[in-house]
Amino acid sequence: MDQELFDLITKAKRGDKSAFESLVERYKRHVYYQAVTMLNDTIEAEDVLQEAFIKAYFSLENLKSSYAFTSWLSRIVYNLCNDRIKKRDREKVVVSEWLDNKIENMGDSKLPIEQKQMQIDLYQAMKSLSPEHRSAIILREVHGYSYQDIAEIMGVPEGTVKSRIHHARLTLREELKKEG
Amino acid sequence: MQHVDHLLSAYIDNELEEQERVVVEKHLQDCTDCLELYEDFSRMSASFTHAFETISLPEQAIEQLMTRINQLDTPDSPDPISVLSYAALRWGTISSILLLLAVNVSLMITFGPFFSFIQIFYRLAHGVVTIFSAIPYLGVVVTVTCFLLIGMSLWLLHQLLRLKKVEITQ
Ligand SMILES: [Zn+2]
Repeated sequence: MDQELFDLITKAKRGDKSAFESLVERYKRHVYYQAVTMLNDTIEAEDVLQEAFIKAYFSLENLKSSYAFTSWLSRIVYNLCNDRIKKRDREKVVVSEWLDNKIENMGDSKLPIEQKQMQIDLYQAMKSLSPEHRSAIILREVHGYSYQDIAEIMGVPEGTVKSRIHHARLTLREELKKEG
Repeated sequence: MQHVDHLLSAYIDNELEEQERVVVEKHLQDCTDCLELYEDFSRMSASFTHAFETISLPEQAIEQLMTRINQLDTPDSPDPISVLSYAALRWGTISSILLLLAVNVSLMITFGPFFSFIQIFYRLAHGVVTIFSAIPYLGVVVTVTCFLLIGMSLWLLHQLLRLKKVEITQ
């Protein structure tokens, strides 16, 4: 963590609103990616984006170490998404699949196994993962968290993280083989 | 030959112990099945990075969020005012002590070392008693003064509790 970021977090912890706004600028992408990939729905992800930062704003003073800010924020996002997924299951809410839109927008061109096609396939394959597995692999691959961080974010043992990521990769690989 | 497929995911993520890492690397040199799995995992890993670079952000939701944050109350946290008054209190106390010492030293020099304070206090006390005994309805005056003081303290306390944090602009 660079010094500038550390200072920002420390200032925001003391209640400095403009420092917090700078944190939102820095982390909006991070938070939105996590929410949209886990929820697979843009409207819900936008809500979580807002809720997460508002929640962070009010509980920031309870954060023990400024160094832990990033994973602490991810934990807030993870829990908010999880609540929504549970509610969705309970109320049988149908979401407009973000991954589907993403695939459509990229165009269904049948290129050879190349970067672009690989991406479309990857989105397609991601749909076959459960939110838990999708979340684990995204936290690892996109956010670059260590297994220990992910364990803390998801509130599960490190061994569970390890097997979730392993399982997610095997499933993705199988799906990608089907596509190709 | 013991395959290492179950370790490859953690190997890619650099989450293996040194010992296991060596075993994996050695095995990958002789086993094409495990090597193929390893290469697939690596390719997937690389495409993840690109796949999520292209997500567009919901600008409107972010704008809305910024407006909401602007309207929020500042959470309770160490108040700049109280931080300031602690500093003021500390320096006030230190300077009062220094001032008293300076007064004491100058008194000692003027009136001699031992009797200066005793004499001054004796005279002050004598003067105060004289003044007070000259006031009619002394008890009533003291009671009213006390109530006034209590009232003033309560009002000050109330004002203090109502204070909101002041934004520090730098
Ligand atoms: Zn093998």
